[in-house]
Amino acid sequence: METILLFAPLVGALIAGFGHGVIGDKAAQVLTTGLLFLSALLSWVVFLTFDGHTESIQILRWIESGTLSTDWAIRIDRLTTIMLIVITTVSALVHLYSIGYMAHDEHFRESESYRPRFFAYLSFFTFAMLMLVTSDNLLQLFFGWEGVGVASYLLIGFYIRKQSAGAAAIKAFVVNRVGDFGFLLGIFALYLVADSIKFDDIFLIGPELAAMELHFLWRDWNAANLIAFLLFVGAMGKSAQLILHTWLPDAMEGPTPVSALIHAATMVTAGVFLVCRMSPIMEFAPDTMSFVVFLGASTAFFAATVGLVQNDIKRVIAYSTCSQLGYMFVAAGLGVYSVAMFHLLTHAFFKAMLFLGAGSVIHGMHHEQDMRNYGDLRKKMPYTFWAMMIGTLAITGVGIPLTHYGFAGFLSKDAVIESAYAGTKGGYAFWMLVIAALFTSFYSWRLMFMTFFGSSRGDRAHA
Amino acid sequence: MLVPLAVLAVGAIFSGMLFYKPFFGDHHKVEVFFGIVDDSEAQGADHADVGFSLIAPAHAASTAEPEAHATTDQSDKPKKILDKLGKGAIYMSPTNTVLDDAHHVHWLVKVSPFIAMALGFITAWLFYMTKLDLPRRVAESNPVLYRFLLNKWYFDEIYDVIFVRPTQWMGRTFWKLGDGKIIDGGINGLAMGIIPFFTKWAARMQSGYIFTYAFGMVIGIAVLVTWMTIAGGK
Repeated sequence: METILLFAPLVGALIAGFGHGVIGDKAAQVLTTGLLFLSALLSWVVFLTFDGHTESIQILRWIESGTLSTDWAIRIDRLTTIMLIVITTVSALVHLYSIGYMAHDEHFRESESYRPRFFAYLSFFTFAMLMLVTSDNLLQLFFGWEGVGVASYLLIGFYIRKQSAGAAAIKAFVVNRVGDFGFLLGIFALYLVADSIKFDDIFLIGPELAAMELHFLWRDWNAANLIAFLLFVGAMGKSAQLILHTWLPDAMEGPTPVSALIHAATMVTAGVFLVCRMSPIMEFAPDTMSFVVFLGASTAFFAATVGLVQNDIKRVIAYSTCSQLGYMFVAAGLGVYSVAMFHLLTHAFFKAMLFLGAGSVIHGMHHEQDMRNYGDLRKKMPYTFWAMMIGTLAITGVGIPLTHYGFAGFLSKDAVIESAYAGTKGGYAFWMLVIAALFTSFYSWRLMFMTFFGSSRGDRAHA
Repeated sequence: MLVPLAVLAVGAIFSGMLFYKPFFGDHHKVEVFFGIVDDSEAQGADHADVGFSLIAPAHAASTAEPEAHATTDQSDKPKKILDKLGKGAIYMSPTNTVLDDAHHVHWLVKVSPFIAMALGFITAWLFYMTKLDLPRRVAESNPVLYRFLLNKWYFDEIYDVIFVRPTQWMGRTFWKLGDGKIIDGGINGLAMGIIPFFTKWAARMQSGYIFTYAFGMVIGIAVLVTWMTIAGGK
């Protein structure tokens, strides 16, 4: 079952990508979407029937070279099952949505066949992402990590005639390589000290690492801190944290379903997943963890301030994603990995919805993305309005205070903020997150009001 | 295009309430959910009567390890604690009590995100629903701050100056100067200047007279002897 759910998207991608000439455009779309729904169904079965015992399902023996012995295997534990449902559910829905969204794209000529390519990329991305989260060792994880990078590059630059899309794709690729360099060094260092890249072995050496020194660059470092830091550099790149965040807003050049799937719900959360996955090492690296908290809190604040004044509807949501990822890193950095995963899970739902809602608005407004030219769309697109309203209520965290009743973001964001207070004794991270929560509410409602309320604006400029 | 929105809406409304307990419930529930401890072990431990208090499991863990403060000194850590390493999907060290402490923060902390949310909503309402000229006035009265935010803290501009331009300059230098002048220039110079010079010289040497060849041999011997004298023939 796990094997089927992992390979269904790959099969879909291959058939749609190479065989659409034979089976036709329509069939390619239906096939990839159908296989993704199968994947999603199986993921939920796996999630709901999972009994808490880590399982490893070997697919093939991969590399046997000296002491480096690596299988290609599916690791099923709670972290994996959570990611499985997030990825396959959002991906299946985005596939379905794309059938409508990509039906008539003005960017391509009437006779051009671009839809199978789009669906093949989407399915390929999903496969790579599943590889990443089901990995049993660092090499497999890195393979998936780069796979999603390639898919992201292809999809950001999907509008092949748009100069800015090509530039954004390159930017995303290059910035991610910077992060990946750190990630690779981290993997090398782990292999150096553990003589293995299998998770089962790595997870046991945390205490040893904490007592070990490693020489790197100009001085000796504590091995646990050094390795955790290098791994986190990779996470910073993928999850668009401060310093390496610049690619994410530009990645909005891709079609909106891509933004919903890759740059909101799944790929950008891979960094958070990595930190949680590496928790047996992270827990022994207190200095690096303080840095993770600091950087996460700073990113949450930074991105929220930028989101306040942006006028492009997708960029507002992109900065909001960046900011929410900061929340997740604060939770992960404080050692409450379950809370980080909680926010990851809820965020995937409401952020994907906000993006798809924004996609509907953009679609309905003939690819106009400037919110200053919207206004009063409430009556024109009531369903989209209500969807965006629910998404906004969720991201701003509406609920009944001091109870456990509220929208998704209310529970998970509050969990992060309470953890931040408890973990930092009411320090920097806590205040940054609370201020970011205020800004989040402001820019989310600003988006709602400018888009759906007020008067219909043609050209009136707004600050 | 509406079906995905509807499904995600269900997720956006209910996923938080549905998954609150396993992700952020009491310590034990979280540990069971993430496979760190078995559910059966739960029955053995006697915190059925704990009720609202959520710190019991953490206390149980920390009493087993009285003097553990820093995670770095692991030498005297009881084996029991490390048993959890590698078990389950995540690992929380026994000294890490954030999850439990978070449930016991002051109620003001718990409502702080709600207050922040309400303030943000009210401000947005004021700015974009009632006093529509307010955003412009605020932006005009703080032009520096507004431009700073609008340009995303100038990150792209700074990176452009620090990384992009020097890289492009380096690329151009290697291309125009390194590749163009030195390599191309070198090859051209070699092919069109130096080699013809030696060819001409060699052609002149091959004059047919014996003494030119004898002269060549003498020069050769002189070079060899000099080399052996200096380097000692090694």
